[in-house]
Amino acid sequence: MIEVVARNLLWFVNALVLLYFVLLNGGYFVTSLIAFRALRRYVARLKSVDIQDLLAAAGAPPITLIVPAYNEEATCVEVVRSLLTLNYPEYEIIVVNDGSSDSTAARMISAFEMVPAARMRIADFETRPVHGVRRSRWHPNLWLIDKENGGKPDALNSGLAYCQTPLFCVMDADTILERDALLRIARPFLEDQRTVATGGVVRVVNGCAVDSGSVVDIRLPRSWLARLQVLEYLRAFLAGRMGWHALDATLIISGAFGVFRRSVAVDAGGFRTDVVGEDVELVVRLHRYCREEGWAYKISFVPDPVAWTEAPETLAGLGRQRDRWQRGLSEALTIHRNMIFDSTYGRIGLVAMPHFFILEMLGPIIEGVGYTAFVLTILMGWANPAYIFGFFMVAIGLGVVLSVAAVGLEEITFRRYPRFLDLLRLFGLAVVENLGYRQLVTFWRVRGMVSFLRGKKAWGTMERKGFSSSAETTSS
Amino acid sequence: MRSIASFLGDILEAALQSLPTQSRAFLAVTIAMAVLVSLSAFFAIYAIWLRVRNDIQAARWADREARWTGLTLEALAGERTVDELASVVGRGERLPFLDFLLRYARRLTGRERDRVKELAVPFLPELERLLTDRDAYRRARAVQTLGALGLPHHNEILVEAVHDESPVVSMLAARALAAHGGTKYVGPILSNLDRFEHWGTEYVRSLLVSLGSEAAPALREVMRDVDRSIRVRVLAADALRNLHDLEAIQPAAEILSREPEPDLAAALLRMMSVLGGPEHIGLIKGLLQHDHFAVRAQAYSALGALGREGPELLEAGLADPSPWVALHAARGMRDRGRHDRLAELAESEHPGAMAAGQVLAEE
Repeated sequence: MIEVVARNLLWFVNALVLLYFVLLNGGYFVTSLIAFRALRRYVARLKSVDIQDLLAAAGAPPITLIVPAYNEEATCVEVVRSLLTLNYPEYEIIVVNDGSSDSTAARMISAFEMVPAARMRIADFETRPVHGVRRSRWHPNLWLIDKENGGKPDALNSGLAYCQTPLFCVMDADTILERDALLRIARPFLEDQRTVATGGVVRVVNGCAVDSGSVVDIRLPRSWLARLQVLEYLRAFLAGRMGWHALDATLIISGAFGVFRRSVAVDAGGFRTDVVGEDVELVVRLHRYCREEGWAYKISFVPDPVAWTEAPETLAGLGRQRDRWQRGLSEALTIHRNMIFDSTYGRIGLVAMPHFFILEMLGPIIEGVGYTAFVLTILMGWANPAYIFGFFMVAIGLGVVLSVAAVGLEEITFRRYPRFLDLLRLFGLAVVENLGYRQLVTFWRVRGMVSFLRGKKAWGTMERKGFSSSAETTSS
Repeated sequence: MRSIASFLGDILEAALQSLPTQSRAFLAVTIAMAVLVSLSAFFAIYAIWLRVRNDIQAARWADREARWTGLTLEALAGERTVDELASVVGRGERLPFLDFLLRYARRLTGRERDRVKELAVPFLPELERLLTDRDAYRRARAVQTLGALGLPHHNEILVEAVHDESPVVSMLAARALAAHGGTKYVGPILSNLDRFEHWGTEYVRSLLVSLGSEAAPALREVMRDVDRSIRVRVLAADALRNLHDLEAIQPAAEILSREPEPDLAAALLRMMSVLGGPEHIGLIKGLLQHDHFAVRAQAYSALGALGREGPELLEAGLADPSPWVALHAARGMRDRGRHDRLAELAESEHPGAMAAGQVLAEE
């Protein structure tokens, strides 16, 4: 009797998990197809409205880059040097030293000769106390805000409070922007004044050669863990975010590279300081705020501006990152859960929020249960070949198709990896990542869900290696 | 054909029925797996094919560009005629060659640019055909190229394109017409102004300014027209300010005296800063206590720019609860040469000390 119940229960779970995999990967497949069309149209649009013509006619709205820095002594000076060479008519850089215990502030002060300066605080956010505001003697558009440690959202709010330009860009202190990245990411603001936020593409810098703050030679990393992340980022940005953008339902803008309209972000309350996924939460809140105020607005993803970021190369580092991402997503979706299936919020409420809540937030748990049930079914001797084969098909086969398609999207559009061997490696990775790596990521995401349910707020430490110079890469 | 399909269907059905249930499920999964593997292989082969094709095309394009660069430079120097150049560009190369010439046209001015336009003449019929393409972006590209390389008679085609259903095509056509000495085209452009409402403010404003001062009477009408959206009226007001249209000041003052919506009031005050006179100071002073910070901020700026009133009014603005207003008031004081007083305030406990300090540091 017990065996019959257990067997039926296990089969019910198995069926549910198979359905989940079909829905999840089927959804990804559909967004990939939509992204394919959207990317081709985007490339056509780029050719029809030349960015230089646009700028010559419209000028460009001034932007403030807000760079929160906590213990970033390894990369902060090089990152800021690269930011100072951006191709954009008018911009300011505000580096917010969030109470670093290393020499981040000292390095900045000495490298750029930063001296105390007066600057008006515009937005009235409650933040941890600011000890001082400095400005570079040689670069009048470079500012340093030195404050007590309060976490990344608090640092972002401090930067936002001092921001005096119509737009601001959030980025990480270990991120390098391509020279024309700001021009490209600001383009939707020039073309449509209803735009309130745009997100760009984040790519993995590991393995690339960096010279004077610019990525000069793009190649796949030597570390397998970083290589797998290259593929993940391609799939997430080119297939996922582009697809959601084409559906006019962009819900995620990466905190590593996004531009927001200052007035709307400030009116909506700035960044929440009690969450770890402040970037996701702000975007969801902007949707909510604009809808509830009855504003016509747009939140877009732009596939050609690129920010290069350092990906973790250790299992511990990557695990902490994914744990945090899962917590961040879960927090944002839980806070705004009443938007789910609410038609007031249009496609965001009816499509994007349910998708992210059920398939992305609860997904790892379903997936984890699925893998466990699969192993149990085999151990109990209840599995037949069709089931085993079917499980592999939906759990792994569909994943391979999606990853291969993402590499195809990259090749159709931006072709950032010029070496033929790298292209072949990416196809190989599309198979390999589904045989262990994806399951490991699921484990970390489940851990993230547990941390979320336990109310954990810590960020965890991040190791920074710094960027490899072109000479180092060439010789290696 | 149908009988073959039906025959194959019967065979498949018979084969499936001869299998036990489990084997049928296995077969179905196997077929699904084969489909997935085929899809993956298709994507991979397609991407590799694209890589190879793109590499070949890039090499071909580089060769072509090198050849065209030499020929074009010779033609620009007068060593080669337009017909000679046209004869070496193949039929399938005409549109890429126009793209190539467009890059030159953007960089050159005066007679050299006119010469580039002459070189483009034999290829322009290709663009005219593209204007009826179903794809809006192809039409947009054709309009953009015609705008830069087209002849005067193409302006009539561009006028039609202003009414295109695609906002991108419509905007590009309007810009091209405005750039070609647009007075004649003020009508079609302004009649489509509502369609341009969602484009970036500066982009539309610069379009209106490029129409020149002869568009001013029509823009004044737009600014006055209460049936137009506030945004369109703001755009018209900002364009009139840039055109230095002194006749716009009187209607602007009338609208301001009727306490318009804050965005419009702020735009009209920006106009007052540039074009206003002492007779408007009373009106501006009346807006220093406006509920909306943007109106107060622009009112202080206008007061500072017109420079007739006592400094104490501007100094009061530094204590405004809105930091934007304080900054505008401080900049107004700086524009009036009140640096010493600003320095004093910056060192004091005055609520506007920080605004004063920042504005002094901006110099």
